[in-house]
Amino acid sequence: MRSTKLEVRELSKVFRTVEGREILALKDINLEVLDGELLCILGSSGCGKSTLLRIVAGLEQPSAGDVLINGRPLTGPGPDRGMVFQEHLLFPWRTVRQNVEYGLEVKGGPKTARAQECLSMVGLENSSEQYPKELSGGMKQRVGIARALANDPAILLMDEPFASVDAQTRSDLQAMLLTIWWGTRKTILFVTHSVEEAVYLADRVILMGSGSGHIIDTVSVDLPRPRYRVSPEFNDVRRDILKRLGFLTGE
Amino acid sequence: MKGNPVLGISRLGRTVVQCTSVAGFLGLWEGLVWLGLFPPYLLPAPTAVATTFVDQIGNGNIPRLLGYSLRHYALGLIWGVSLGVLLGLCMAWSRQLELVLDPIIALLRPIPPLAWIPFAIIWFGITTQAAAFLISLGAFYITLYSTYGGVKGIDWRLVDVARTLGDQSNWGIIRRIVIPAALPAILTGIRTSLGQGWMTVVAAEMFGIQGIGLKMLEAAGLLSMDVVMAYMAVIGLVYFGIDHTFRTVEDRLLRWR
Amino acid sequence: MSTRLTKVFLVLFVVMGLLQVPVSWALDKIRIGYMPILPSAHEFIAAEKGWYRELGVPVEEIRFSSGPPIVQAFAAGQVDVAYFGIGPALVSVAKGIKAKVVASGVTEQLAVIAVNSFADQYQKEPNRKAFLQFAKAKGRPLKIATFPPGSTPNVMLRYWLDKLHVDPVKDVEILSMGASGVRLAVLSQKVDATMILEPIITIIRHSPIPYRIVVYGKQILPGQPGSILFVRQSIIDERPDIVEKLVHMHLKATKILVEKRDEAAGIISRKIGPEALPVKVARESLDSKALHWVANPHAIVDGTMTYNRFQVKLGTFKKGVDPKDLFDFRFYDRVIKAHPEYKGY
Repeated sequence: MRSTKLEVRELSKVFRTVEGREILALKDINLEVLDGELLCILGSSGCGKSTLLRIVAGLEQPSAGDVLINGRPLTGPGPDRGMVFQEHLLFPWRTVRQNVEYGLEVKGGPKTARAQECLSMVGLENSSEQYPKELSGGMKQRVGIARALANDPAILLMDEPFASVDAQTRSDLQAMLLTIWWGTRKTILFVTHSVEEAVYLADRVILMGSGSGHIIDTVSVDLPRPRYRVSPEFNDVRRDILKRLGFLTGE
Repeated sequence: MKGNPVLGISRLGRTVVQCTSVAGFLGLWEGLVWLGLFPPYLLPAPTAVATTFVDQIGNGNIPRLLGYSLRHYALGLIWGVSLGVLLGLCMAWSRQLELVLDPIIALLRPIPPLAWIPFAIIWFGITTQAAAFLISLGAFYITLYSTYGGVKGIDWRLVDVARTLGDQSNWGIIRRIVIPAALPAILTGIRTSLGQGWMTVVAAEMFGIQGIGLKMLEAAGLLSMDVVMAYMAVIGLVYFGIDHTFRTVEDRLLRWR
Repeated sequence: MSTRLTKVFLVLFVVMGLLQVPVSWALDKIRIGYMPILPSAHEFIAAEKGWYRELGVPVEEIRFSSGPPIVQAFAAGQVDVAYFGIGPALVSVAKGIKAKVVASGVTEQLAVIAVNSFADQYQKEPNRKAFLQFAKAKGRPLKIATFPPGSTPNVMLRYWLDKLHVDPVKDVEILSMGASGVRLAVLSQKVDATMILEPIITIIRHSPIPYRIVVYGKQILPGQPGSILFVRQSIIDERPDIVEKLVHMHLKATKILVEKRDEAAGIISRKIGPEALPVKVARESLDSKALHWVANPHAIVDGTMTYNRFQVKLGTFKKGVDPKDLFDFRFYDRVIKAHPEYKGY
């Protein structure tokens, strides 16, 4: 029996606009993520999925509720949770290697060997001395993943990391992510708005309603890996999710 | 698709044209003086300026006075730039400090550095420090605002990234994120200060502090305009060197851009 | 191509020709340069009394902070008549500016003022040792503020140091600046000594700072020429009547400065600025031992030549100035002949 790695309890988040209006971004979120699970949070833009991830990362404070990691309440950002962002957000003044070394540098101690190890995990061991401006979009995302991995975090938080690359690169990156996940058995929270991506990657998919800030359903994906995006089973799960999201009401 | 024929000529050809143009200009100038159209106190001949230039190096005046001026310049820049960068960082980082300091600086900034000359004399006397003080004022405001603007304009999402990577202390974030991210703006400020400061050196020395500026003023008082022009050449050449060196350093530091 | 070049040369020759043709000129105004110091007092009196109206041309007064800037303005053709020192006059003539000294203003008008510790030392040993002692005690050479090189105080300072065998570079530090700069530097005690003229001498004596007079100009170079009245040659040639009137006014003002000091003090204070020079201080400075109102240009010829020889020694000029190129005595002599009451000034 796998233990619970991350628990979100009765979480709500209210934003206050400049004019003083209150906007409910998240409402009564309850979530349990098992150790080593790859969980996708699926929803259209504005559903609060990124806010949820930022709260788990410790970058935002919840308005109500708790986030527990290994049963202990969260206090802020920490190296136990690595985050990968949608717009790669690499440090442009650092080389690829120096970007990956960042977390290790903060911690102190040896860094180059570990950085090189992470770079080989994402297949960039030969680009370590290049600057981000010299890289393609897909390569930048790989560096972002390597940078998040360098601290060896137990949890990897990924905020639509593959949303802004072309289809071919995206499927390469997805395959690479699964390989890394398989090799490291990390707990991964993966935010996406693509049903296909969620079905391809996830053990379990959390569906968030658009504009409502709450979880409308949870779907387990019990397909064996590697998954084939064109197989009938794959499409069944896709259709099921789309139905639950309310997109296929006419059928 | 033939462009301008001048742009089409070889690199060597262009150099030849440029040299000829400069030589022609100097020749015309020399000719005007030689014809006796202007007394030397209105327009010294280029050859006279060149001779004076060599004399002034030979008798040690140019190295000595340039040494003084560079000392004023370096001291003023070091103080002005370091205080400007430091305070600019602090103001951009701390809302409270910004609130307190912004009105004071907004009030003092419009006063040109040279307006402080009387106070420079009273506070520091006719000394290196007085000249350095005047130079530092200009450098201070320029780097303060460029640093402040640079820090305000950085991509603050990078700070979030750093925090998720375990960087929690303010000092760590400032050192590893804020300063490198604002470095292009800071360096632009420093480069502007280098130019403004060099102008201030000449002007500041004119109130009696030994250096190139005073030498020019004194020579002008004696109507030795060849000396004045020789020192103008020194000012131009030295600044050219300083600016060129700084650009090289800047390009190296910002090669990631 | 060749025709264009010909055109360029043609234009150039025309321009050159125009430059060489002397433009026949009508004098539309006279620009007088002066400094806010007592040797310019003749100018203040003439202006305040409205005498300039008698000239028949408008007068523009331009204030300068030391002599050398007036030389530059003179060279640029922006000043026609100047009240300044013999030093700047010599510089101008040596550099080929066409102008003449038509009268003397004051002589032996300078004094060295120094901080008491140096003054005591100098009183005991009036030679180089006093300077070396001071430098040893302070760990730095004596700082002396004066007008820029080429000005009379600057040259006289160097003449004095030369007489005492003091090295002007190693044994002392000479700082050059304008009148207000010297005042400020001395009154804020940022310099140890100054070679300066009235009224700054009296102003310093009136301030509470521990400085006093060390030596008078008379002791440095007897008959030392001081300020003079300097007029552009073109005015001498075209309008000698105006120059004669200027010299006449100059003598009238000299008489007032000697005989009606109360009245003169009021005018001087108003002109320099009562906040900078109160009437009381102006009145006292008129009694100063550093002022000798001598208008007679004949009286300063010998002193001027000694002075000029020293300038050559300093390297300011390669050769001395011929008195014939510097002085024009005709106007003074004519006025004295017509108005014998000014004889002796």
